[in-house]
Amino acid sequence: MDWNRLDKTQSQAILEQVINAADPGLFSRNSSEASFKPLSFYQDFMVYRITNYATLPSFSLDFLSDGESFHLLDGSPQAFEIVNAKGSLYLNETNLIDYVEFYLANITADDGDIYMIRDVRSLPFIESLSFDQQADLQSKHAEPQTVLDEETGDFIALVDLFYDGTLLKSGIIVKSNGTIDIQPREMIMSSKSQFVGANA
Amino acid sequence: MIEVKNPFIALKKAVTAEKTVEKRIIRHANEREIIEHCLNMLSLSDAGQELIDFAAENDIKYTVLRGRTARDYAPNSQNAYIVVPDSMPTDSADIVIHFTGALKEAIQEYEPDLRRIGVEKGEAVYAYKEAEKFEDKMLWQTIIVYELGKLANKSEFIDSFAAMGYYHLIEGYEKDLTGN
Repeated sequence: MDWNRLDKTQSQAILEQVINAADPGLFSRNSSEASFKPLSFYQDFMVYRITNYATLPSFSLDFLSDGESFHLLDGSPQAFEIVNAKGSLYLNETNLIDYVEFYLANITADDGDIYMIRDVRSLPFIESLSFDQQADLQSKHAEPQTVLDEETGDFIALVDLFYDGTLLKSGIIVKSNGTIDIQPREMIMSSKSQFVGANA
Repeated sequence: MIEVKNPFIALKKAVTAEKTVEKRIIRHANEREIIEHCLNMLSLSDAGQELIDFAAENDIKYTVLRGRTARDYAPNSQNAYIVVPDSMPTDSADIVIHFTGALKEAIQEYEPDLRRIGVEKGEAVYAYKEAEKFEDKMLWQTIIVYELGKLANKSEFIDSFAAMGYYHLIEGYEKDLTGN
């Protein structure tokens, strides 16, 4: 889903909150604006992006917010923990994959970002693979899938991930409080040399 | 020797919340330590010391923000920001290089030829000015990395700059200096 721009009044209100809480020099009121995306798995919270367009490249910070409290998405799971503890998280079979994708897209692991693969053709490094490798990858890739562990009541997202130069099939256990536990199951492709520059 | 990591173990560790709770919303928990390290390193370079002196004379403030990836940012003449991930060691050479960039960009606002302009004068003029600003920032980063790496024997600065893809700038600068 694309970002929705807030109107000028709403944008200024959000900016004031962040500027007051953070640092007066961080975003100028004239050259900055706020936008948002609704999140299907949160009842009260959305993700807000505040961008200063005065500099090149433009400077952005993303927050989870209910309009009153702001939690910086800084690459750690902290913002998720705080928001999830407020009871806003509502997970079901329909939105679980969205939650996992958003979560992984907003945390950074020690060896870089973790990509959840929805569509092999959209992988940033796909062009660097040979046609055979692309076909092989396509044949092994499965669409993300949600299953319910009836014993524990936890959801499990079965997804393909790209992490630290490796493509893996993984089961991601998502507890009702939103914590996630990645259980890699099988390597799809492991040669790091095939993905040089994929994290750039 | 290249360390081969086990992606299975690394992935399991990747999303555990072992980091300490950060009280402030945006500022880095080790902000003071990072700024002190950057200033200490820059003071070992003549060019770096020049930037620090200018900042002190003009009351330019330094701020370290938490973020996903390291970068520099200077929204105006009074504030130089760097973004540092929690996971990055606070004495990393990368941080000092970004700090240099942010500081030089703030100082550009005091230089008539390099002061930021809006798009009112046309996109071409704006793009030209931004290119000039970038070139100036890179020049200062190159000089400081060279002075720290080659003259102060802190090779990690050369390594970091090379990893960012700018080793050719060090080579070029050295060639200019030596005439070879």
